[in-house]
Amino acid sequence: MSDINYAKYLPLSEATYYVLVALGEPSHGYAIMQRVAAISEGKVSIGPGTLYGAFATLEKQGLIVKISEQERRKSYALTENGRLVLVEQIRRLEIMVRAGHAFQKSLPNGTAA
Amino acid sequence: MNTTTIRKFKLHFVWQEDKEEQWLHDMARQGWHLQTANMLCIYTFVQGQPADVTYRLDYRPGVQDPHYVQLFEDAGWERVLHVMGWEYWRKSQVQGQEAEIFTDAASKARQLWRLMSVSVAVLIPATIMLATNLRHMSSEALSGGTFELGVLIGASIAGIVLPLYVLARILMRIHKLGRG
Repeated sequence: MSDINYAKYLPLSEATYYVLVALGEPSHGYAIMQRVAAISEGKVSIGPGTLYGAFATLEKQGLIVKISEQERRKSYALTENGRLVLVEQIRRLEIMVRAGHAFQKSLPNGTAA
Repeated sequence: MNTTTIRKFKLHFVWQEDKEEQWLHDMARQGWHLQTANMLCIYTFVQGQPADVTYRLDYRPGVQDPHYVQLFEDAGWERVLHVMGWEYWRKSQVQGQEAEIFTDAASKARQLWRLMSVSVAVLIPATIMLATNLRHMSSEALSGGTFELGVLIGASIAGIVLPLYVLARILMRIHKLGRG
């Protein structure tokens, strides 16, 4: 089942990562933009040009799929592959964060943010 | 109601859409808001309240996907016009904040690659056609006078040097984006 070539997709860009996370709940474009702004604590905003391109790319890669279309708004959901790629990305990010924490601990007291 | 409009002719190079966006913003600050533009580079502005309005251009040749338009409109962008494959979007600034339609370098670069591929498709056949004619023309020019030679040089610049220059400028923009 998991014969995915992860190297083809990873690492995800920051914008793509948040789009996939936000698609944990199937939604249309504007809802994604708002959710990404919220869950990234305002650090990432996604413009419509960027999101439109991301939808097209992710759909072509088979990571997301169109589930409905209402009043010129397409709603998307993660595919099984999309979920697997996202889970693998999260696993790698956790390793990165653990490595970062080890580095922070090695710093003299007070210099770690 | 009486509305005042002005027309302006202004040339912009395809690799300088950021300069055009800035110009449209400057016009809006003086109370002139873009109404239409045509392929002859004539822009019509309608007079209104001076305002800080962000303009953004997106190169999307072909028939427009209604979902594309809807997504931009949902995000608060107004579609002003579309001409020669260029989509003109604008959005009022909130507290001097400029909104962006492309929020990362990769997606901005993809728009420039679209521009690049169309430019190549348009320019290369013209260049090849000219190059084949040049062989014939050059033999005439050598036996002819300065007029024939002038035509030859002029055609070479218009048909080969200029297209290559356009492509180089677009590539330079993409390269600059890559370095952030």
